[in-house]
Amino acid sequence: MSATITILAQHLLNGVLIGCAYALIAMGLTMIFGVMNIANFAHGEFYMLGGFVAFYLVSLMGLDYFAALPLAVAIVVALAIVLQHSIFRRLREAPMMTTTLVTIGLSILLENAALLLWGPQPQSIPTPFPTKPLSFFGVYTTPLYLFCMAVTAALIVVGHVLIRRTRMGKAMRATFQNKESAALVGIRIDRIYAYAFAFGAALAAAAGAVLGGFIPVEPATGGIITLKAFVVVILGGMGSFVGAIVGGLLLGLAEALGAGYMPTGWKDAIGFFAVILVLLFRPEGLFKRV
Amino acid sequence: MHRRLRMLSLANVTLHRGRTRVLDDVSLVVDEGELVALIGANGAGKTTVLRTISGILKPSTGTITFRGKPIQGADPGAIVRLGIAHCPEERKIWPDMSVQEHLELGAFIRNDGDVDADMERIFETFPVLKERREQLAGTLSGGQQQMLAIGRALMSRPSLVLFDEPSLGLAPIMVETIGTMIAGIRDRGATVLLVEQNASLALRLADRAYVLETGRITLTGPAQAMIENPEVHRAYLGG
Amino acid sequence: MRTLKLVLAVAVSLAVAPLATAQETVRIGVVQPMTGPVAYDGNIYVNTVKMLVDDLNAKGGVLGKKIELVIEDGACNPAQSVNAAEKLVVRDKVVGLLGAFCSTSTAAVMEVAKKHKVPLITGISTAAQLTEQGNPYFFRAVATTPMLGNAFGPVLPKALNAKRFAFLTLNDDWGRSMQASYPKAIESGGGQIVANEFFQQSDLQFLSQITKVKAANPDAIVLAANTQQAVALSKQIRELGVTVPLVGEGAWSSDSYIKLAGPAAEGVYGLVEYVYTIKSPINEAFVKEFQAKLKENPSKFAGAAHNVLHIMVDAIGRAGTTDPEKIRAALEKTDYNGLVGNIKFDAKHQAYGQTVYLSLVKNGVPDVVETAKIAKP
Repeated sequence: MSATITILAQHLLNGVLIGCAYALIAMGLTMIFGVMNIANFAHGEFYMLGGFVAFYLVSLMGLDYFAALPLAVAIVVALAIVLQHSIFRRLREAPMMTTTLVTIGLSILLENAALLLWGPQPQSIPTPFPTKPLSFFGVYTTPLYLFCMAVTAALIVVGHVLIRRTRMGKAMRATFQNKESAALVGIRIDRIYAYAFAFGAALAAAAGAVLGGFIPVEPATGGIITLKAFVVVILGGMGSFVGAIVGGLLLGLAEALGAGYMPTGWKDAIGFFAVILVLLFRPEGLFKRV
Repeated sequence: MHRRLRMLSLANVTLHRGRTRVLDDVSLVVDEGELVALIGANGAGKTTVLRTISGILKPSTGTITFRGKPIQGADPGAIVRLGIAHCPEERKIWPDMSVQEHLELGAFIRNDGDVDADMERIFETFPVLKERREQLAGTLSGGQQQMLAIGRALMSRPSLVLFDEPSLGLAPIMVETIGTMIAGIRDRGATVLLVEQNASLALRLADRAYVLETGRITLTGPAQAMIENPEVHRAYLGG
Repeated sequence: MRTLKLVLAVAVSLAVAPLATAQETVRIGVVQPMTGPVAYDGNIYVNTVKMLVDDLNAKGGVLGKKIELVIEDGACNPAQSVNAAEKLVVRDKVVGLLGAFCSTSTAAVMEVAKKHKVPLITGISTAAQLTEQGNPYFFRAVATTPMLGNAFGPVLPKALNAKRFAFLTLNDDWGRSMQASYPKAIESGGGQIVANEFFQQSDLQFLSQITKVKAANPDAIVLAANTQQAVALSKQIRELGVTVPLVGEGAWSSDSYIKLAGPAAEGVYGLVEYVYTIKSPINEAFVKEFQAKLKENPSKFAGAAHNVLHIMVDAIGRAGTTDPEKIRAALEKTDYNGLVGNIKFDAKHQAYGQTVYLSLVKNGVPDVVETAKIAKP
């Protein structure tokens, strides 16, 4: 392969890797927004907690890596259920301004709790994968990157199937599209809220636990993740699952290619520029809510 | 006259929205097998009556009993499980879900094995829905969406169906079809409480009727007597 | 009631204490971040000066009096740092100030020093403009990025056996000043610049930038990053199959970086003002005491603390008085031999003459492989 094509292929691979992670995180955010009408500014903190708990389990408790990942997600989900039950369940009828302020407060609380528990040091989760990179015709990756891509892609597919095909997934979408008629067929909205919040937190925590192998996690990581997730969700359409998936991949690829072929200082600007364009010409996002 | 079983009764139901009294001491009864109409002008509170029965709104005072048991204050999920289906105003379909998914979710509270058979029965009644079972509900015509909303309500196998303005926004020929359909539901043994602004349709279908004016029941009687009542005629039948 | 009286008595005695002891000790004020984003490094600085003051006092202090440290938290926040400095000067009557870590905070504290005519030394803030303001009370005992570049640039091509250099730095004052000042010096040593790339403070992964740098086919990559990003950066560079030497300003020779980056830290070069492996009697004694008392290897912030404290005490001794104006005059004539060799101040009060170090991590230890001297600007 010629050098130009190799480099392009490398950029595309980087973009898909990061894009899958963006998509996974944004799916959770869009679900919480769509079902509960909550703009969850604490979403990135679930990612951060997923990473930290996985680190704690592997590094400090000596748990097997592959056992630690699902356990870390389960622990974060348990926390999300407690938060939903004690805070958000009471705010069902509250205006969005109130819930938004509550989620901002929650994000500060969780970040500082992590700071107290684990300190400000960035941590990488030790993985059993060999660190030696793999080369395919000059395009480099590592077993860990491939694992991340496989897990995030699989979770996106699983999430999508759960939402499209299962009874609970259909009930969620119905709640999403019209809460009143969902309640009238007997869907318990309280329970759907709890599922949506737990499911959203699970996806973010899974992303944090998996990516924590090569992107060090620290208490402040959550803020950046939340920002990226909102970019994706606005890009893809608030409350659209397909939009979150396509938007996540698009942002990942746009950042990779943009940074690859434009001055790298512009990398972050690309996502925001895309959002401004979308808001100007398609304020409902690329996809409607589904 | 044969004494029927009392199915639903509202006694002195009052409901406030903020400081406004939206329902004022409303009392009404629906007996088993009846088709009862609730008519009145726009904004009289008809929709509020239905929403209060199905648990979306909680009455300030008064009691609602279903088959002798009080249900006021229960949540909608519990009420639909007792056998009350509510086919809401403006259809409230889920625009990005398919026809089939609507009917499946209509049976959300059921876990018996007859759901598929019931779905076939709905499709027999509304063949057009069968043709479009994979289509998204948002792409259906107004009349088809109304059929879908009715089908969804029936999928819970209710003993009492609350219809809210089923004729709203439909072409005259479609209004007739829906009317026939509702009469058919009653004829197959279900009980119906029908809210309609189209009073002539409602009174033609109903056994008995109530007139609601600014939150108060002002008149009640057999539907035929209502049609002949000059007051009703002048106010609601446009004559 | 008795407790209340006791509390009152203690409070009064504490309030009176500074006045009572003002004659008996020489007070030096310290403004460092002990909370906030750089609290970890700020605390290392504070613990170092505390340890060293104890040593100095054991040897008799200065001017026949004991040295007393008064420490305030500036939190890397300009407003809080100004309040802290005001308190130190007005309430505690310190004769000199050490601080304030972050350049923006130091810039703010400089104004307090000027207003009250009290000398201030920083060993950490490297923003070039600080010494360009002609503030007569401000001294900087650390090289700026352009000075480091001028010192190291000419030796890098040979030391790294590299011709083609790519830059990948943080997109802030520091990183941009590095990319502006290093290239000329590197070219003078026979090198050539093949890529200039940046990343943001908020970036968690650098795959695009690394791919782009890789495409330029460099022999070495010059980096600027703090600990968190340095760890991710060096790991990801290796993961994308780039094997050329890495050389950086920032965290690259610190214990915390080496521990967190693990194998990815091996073979990484650091461009530093201080590293604990310097071979000299004075440094070896310092490291030994530091390891014994503070249970880690001294970082460059500990080295900076060592420099500025001794420079201040040396000036007080030569001034022969605690008059801040005379101390300021003595500071201008500094000719101090310490951890990093000889330090003097130029007319703008910028330090020069000290040695800077090229370190190379081998088996988790940053060895000194090359040194350079900071030229008089």
